[in-house]
Amino acid sequence: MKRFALVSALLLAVVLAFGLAAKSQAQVPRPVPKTGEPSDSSPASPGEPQLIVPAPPTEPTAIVPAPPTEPTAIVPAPPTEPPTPSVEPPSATAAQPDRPVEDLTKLPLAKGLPVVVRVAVYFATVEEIDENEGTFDATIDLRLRWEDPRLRYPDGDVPGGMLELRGPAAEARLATMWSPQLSLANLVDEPKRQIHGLRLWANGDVELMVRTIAKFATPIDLSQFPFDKQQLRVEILSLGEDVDRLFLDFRQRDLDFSRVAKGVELEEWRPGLVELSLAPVPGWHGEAQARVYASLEVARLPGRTVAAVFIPLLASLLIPMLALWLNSVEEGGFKVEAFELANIVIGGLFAVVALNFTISSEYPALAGSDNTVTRLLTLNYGTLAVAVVMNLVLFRFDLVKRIFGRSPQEALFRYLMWAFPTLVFGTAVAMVLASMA
Amino acid sequence: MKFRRAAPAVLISTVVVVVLVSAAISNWMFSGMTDEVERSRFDQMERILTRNIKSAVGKAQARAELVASLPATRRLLAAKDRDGLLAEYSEMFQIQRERHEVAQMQFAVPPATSLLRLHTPDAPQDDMSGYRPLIVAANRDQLAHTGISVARAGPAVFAVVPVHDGKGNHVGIFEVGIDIGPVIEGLKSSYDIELGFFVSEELLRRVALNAPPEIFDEENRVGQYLRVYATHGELIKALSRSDDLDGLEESRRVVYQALGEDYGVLLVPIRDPAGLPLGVMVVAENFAATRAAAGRSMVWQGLIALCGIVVLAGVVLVVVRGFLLQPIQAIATGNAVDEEVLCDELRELATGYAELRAKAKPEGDEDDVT
Repeated sequence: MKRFALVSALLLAVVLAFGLAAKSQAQVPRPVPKTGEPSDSSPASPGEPQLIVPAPPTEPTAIVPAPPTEPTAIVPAPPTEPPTPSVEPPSATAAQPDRPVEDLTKLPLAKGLPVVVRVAVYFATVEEIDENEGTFDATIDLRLRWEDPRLRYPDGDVPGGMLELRGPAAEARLATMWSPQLSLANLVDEPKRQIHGLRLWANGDVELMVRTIAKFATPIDLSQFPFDKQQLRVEILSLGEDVDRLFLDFRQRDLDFSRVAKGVELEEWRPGLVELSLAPVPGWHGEAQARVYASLEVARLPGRTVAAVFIPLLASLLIPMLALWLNSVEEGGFKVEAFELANIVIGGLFAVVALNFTISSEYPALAGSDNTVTRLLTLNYGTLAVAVVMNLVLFRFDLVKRIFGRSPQEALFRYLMWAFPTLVFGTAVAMVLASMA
Repeated sequence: MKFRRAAPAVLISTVVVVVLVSAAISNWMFSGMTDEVERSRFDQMERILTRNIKSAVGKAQARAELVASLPATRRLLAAKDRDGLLAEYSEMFQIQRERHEVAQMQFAVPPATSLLRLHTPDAPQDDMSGYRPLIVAANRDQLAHTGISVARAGPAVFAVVPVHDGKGNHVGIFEVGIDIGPVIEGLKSSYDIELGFFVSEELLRRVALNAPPEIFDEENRVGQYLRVYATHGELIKALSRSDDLDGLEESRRVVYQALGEDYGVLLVPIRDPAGLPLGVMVVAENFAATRAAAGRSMVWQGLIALCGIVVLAGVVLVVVRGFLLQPIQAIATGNAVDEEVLCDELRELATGYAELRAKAKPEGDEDDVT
């Protein structure tokens, strides 16, 4: 009896050791908030929409009281005295002195509606993916291109035919002209840093570049874990104007620009392609607001996770097998008493419970969804339950012998010795292969 | 031959064959469904492409016919008034180019001499007979001709319509070229499919003298073709193989893996209106979902087959060995009656065998019979 108790304890220790190894190698996940459905309790919930460009200078009439804390504009409010840029930008109105002064902060209507803004996103760095929080830290360059004929100026005014402004100079200039009111809708908290670059061409083409270093919320789907691919999504949302007035789109230049920097390396992840997709948001009265998703696909490198999680899960499947393999038939009866084998099964149950607890605390996002890990845990519990039933039916009450005789019981026992492990491990392998498919 | 081994072997082999054949048929049927889904997606890709190219052709033709029917066009083209045409239509062309993806507009006189290219007004008035069959045909037939073609400024979707003066005399043609790039980029944003347009390098080098020089970059070359547009350069490059593109006569459908994903790739040969090979349109859609579903289905069907084989093999082994062979062996050794719980038939056999043995024994040995 001591021998079996010792085996049980040893198995429990081995499985717990694997569980602890998993803990040391993995991060602590938490439930993943869906994009657009932030959880109030989750610190990862996106904050207020972050304006990419400053609001028009005219203040709208407030229908409801303003929130106590102002949403952080990605571009600071226009200063009363705009700083003089290094190169004095040409004035559109100065170039056409006979025409009435236009309000350059209004939507440019010279080319008709909708005003088309081309969107592109470059992932300069991706530093951390927290699948438990459903967030990632990244530095992204958002490029917006549009045409505003009011900003045209004579070719010779600026060397090279293009005026480039950066930082405060760009922000000051943006405050004096129209730019699309967009937000990075899935930002978590305020961005750590944001830098603006503005290019104005003589023909009225405008290019606004916004480099943002921030944490973004993104939906995580762990159903294929650990062979999963995730989309690290940046959500660019039009605020205010509907799609009939402001349309976000992309062209080949934008698709070519939208990629991940070559040097980006992520622990446990392999970056792939950047996809742009249009996903308008339904608005009031049948209107819609433009939205573009820029999604960087990342594929998990499963090596470490397999070692940390799958080896203990598969090893623990051996425990109920021992309840069969350690017994033998001698002269029509079983050699080992049922209660000794029950000790092994009970020990296995504790081991699986401990493993389940470890995984649940380390990977809560996994525990709350249907995936290979939860399936393997279910298989573990199921196998233990079958082992208990076999122990009672075969070894404790000799039911097969009583009903059918000694020979069928012997034949059944010998059959179960290989069939039970075959079915259990076949199922486990199928679960893993299905998640790899 | 040992019945102990041969009987289970025959029965289990039969079970294995039956279960595996059933699993294979089931998998084949599911694969057929997956193939059907993929086939319909290929069909859809082809329809989308064809419809949008036709739409672009229609767009070009509508503009061309509108301008060709204007009295100013008739008068100025009949007079071969290049400056007049430029003054009349320059602004119109700028608006069309900026807002409606119209890349090229041209007036030409018979047989195929360029009079004015609104997109490049300074270009020489050259003879296009050698490289613009569409214009030659429109002037010859005095009918509208449409299609994808390569001009000096590069490939585009063209509509060429004849222009007649006030007396009905044919005086030339007016041509509108819609840029293909926005057409395929629109398809990408609307249908989430990737597209690439490859044009014969020989044709581009011979005709498209004013095309953007970056088209001729080495990285755009695939076999005899140059990639002119691509919604995703890296992906389209991985999916486009010179073996597939070169000599493509009919639409072809293949599934390739690129960047870790399965893509259904539709290759559509593009011909100019004269029927000569011009290029290839590559349309790709991610098939990872259907392929993954097929893979998962195969895995689960394999598991079901394994379970079937193991369970049925267990029934065979337990019945043949447990219910038949071991009791018979016990009967043969003469100790089955007391120790085995036998079925009625075997109990009768055991009893009969015991009686037979008793009879066969000489008198006085009865006690030994058990």
